[in-house]
Amino acid sequence: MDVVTTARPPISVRPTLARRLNEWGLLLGLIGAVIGFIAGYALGSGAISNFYGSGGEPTSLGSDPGILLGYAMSAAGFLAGMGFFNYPIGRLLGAKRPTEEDNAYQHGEGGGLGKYFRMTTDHKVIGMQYMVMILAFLFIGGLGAMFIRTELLTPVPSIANAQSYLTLVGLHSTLMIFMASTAIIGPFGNYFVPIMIGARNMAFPRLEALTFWLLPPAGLILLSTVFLGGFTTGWTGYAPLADQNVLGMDSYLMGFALIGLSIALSGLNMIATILTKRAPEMPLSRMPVFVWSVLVTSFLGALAAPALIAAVLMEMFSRTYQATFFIPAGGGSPYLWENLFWFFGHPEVYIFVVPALAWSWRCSRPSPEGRSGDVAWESAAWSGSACSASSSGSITCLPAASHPRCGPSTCSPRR
Amino acid sequence: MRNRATATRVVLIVWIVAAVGGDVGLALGPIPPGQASDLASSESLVIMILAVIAWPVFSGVLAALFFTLVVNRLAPPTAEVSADALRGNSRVQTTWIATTLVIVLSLAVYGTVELAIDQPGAGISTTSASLPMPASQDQPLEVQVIAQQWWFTYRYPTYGGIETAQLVLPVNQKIQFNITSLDVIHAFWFFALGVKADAVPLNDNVVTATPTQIGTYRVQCSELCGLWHGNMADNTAMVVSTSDFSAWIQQQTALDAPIMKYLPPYSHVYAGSNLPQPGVYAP
Repeated sequence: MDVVTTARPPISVRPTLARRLNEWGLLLGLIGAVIGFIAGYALGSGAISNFYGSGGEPTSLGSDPGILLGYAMSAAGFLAGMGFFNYPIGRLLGAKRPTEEDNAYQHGEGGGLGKYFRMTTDHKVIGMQYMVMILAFLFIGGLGAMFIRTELLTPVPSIANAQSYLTLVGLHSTLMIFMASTAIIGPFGNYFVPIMIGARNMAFPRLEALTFWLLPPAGLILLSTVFLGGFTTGWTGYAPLADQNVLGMDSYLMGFALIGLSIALSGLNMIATILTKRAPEMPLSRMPVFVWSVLVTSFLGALAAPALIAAVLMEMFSRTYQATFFIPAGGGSPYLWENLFWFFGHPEVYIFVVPALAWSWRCSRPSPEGRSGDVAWESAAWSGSACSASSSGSITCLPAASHPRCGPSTCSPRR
Repeated sequence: MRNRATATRVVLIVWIVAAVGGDVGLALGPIPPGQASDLASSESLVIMILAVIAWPVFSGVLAALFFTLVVNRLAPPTAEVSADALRGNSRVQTTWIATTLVIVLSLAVYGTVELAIDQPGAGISTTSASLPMPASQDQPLEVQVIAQQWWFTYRYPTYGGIETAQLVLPVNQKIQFNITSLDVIHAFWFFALGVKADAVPLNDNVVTATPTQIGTYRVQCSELCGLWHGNMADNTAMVVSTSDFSAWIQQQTALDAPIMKYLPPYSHVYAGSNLPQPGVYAP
């Protein structure tokens, strides 16, 4: 396919004070995280706890409301330090739109390797950031697997007690599944989809950077469970047992909340990009199969991740303020957590597999796709779409057909 | 191989032989969970039918992969070669879709029929009322399985609601397992009988099975329920003859006599209100 992109003349980026500060974005983010954690912990343990008389009894490590609010505000502080709130709050306060130079700086024009360690809106940089982070967390999860195997060499507990063993099992699975859930659509999707559809960038570049930068805090929050006693529920976090757990369970819940948010936002961003930023010569019927797979997967992510966020939020309230969503004696049901969790859990495995299958299909072809009469393209695109549609209901694909940019008026039949 | 055509025929024959041989082995060989109860026999039959249909498909995929990777390779090209685009072929497409459709639809019909017909199986009741049984059913022996962190106990309402720590069942008697939990979600797994059901607090899950083989079997918990979930298993569940069962029940009733007044009244679910109250144990 012939896609023409005009190269822009390079824009010189002057190193102003704000930009030099932004080079230190990661450090500012860490400072923000620490300040946020202290503030949230104080708020949770002190003010709110006393006012509502929560049953989250403080232990020597803290109380549930304190830890949860601490994590939440530390994530917010990290993002603030990285500079994610600059544009929205600046605009709300009446600042002018960013200049070409500002946009070029944020796009990574001015700096060498530093652009990989700060908020950058270049989709290629974000793809690389995803790739490195996913490999790092897969490695850590793999270390957890080695830990499990070492413990299981003997029939009696050898290197871990029951609590530590179950925590490591849970961490191993959680890190491998959730940090790698965007293993293909994160790195490969962000990197290649704009290139494949002839777009200059994603539809919402700052949002794209946010979906990446939510994940390192989520991973660190998950890993910090070892300092809080760990969790014994495994990665599925079933509800009545989750209420019984010590503080470490809160790390699991907050980590999942951030990861779910990242998946949902990334899905929305991909849908917007693929449906609106395709080159004019590319109707949906001529789109590469990998882009099709990312499109249907993004519907899954955008629809399923909020169910996880809702379940996790309910469990947070159950642990802090004795909400009985999942306690039958209080009118709830343990099946509710199972249902909500697996409303996300099944689409999650399709989020794993559909882009991966499309990418390996693409790599195994003898010829490029898109020639006329390409029945293989049709079967791959249709089966990938049917796969995702059946896993989340047919409502996922109807909005695409009714969007004005890609309805019958625009999508011409294949020539 | 002399040429590609011979190699293709060889792959085809190897696939047919493997498919038929595997199917014969599956049909004759022992299939889990075995024949120790009518439920287990029915489950074994279903697994065998699915495996017999799936094995030729799976081995066909392996054969096609081998054919593509090894037999059907191009000779090393002397110049850059780009393969032809795949073109449509109605016969191949129709055959492919029709074959896979027939296989999948027949399995779907089989599964639906198995679900609908009257046979040993399970049900879920979320209230304390038991699953209503048709009047023509044999009278099942009701055995309640109470799961808690981190062991199972069993109550026999037919025999005065005695509670035991060991599961003993009479052979050739239809058993109705009422499975519930006191605290978190567990699962009761009696592999040899083909019985597995979640134990959910304030829920009563019902499974019926008729043991047909006397022996000693393993029972374990199969839903992560906390620190000692791995310990929540034992190898002392027994299926015994009817006379042995009566003798065991008499022995257990005698053992339980002093504590019966402290046990909560038999109920399909146990909530805070009918769990033992603190302080009641002191005589």
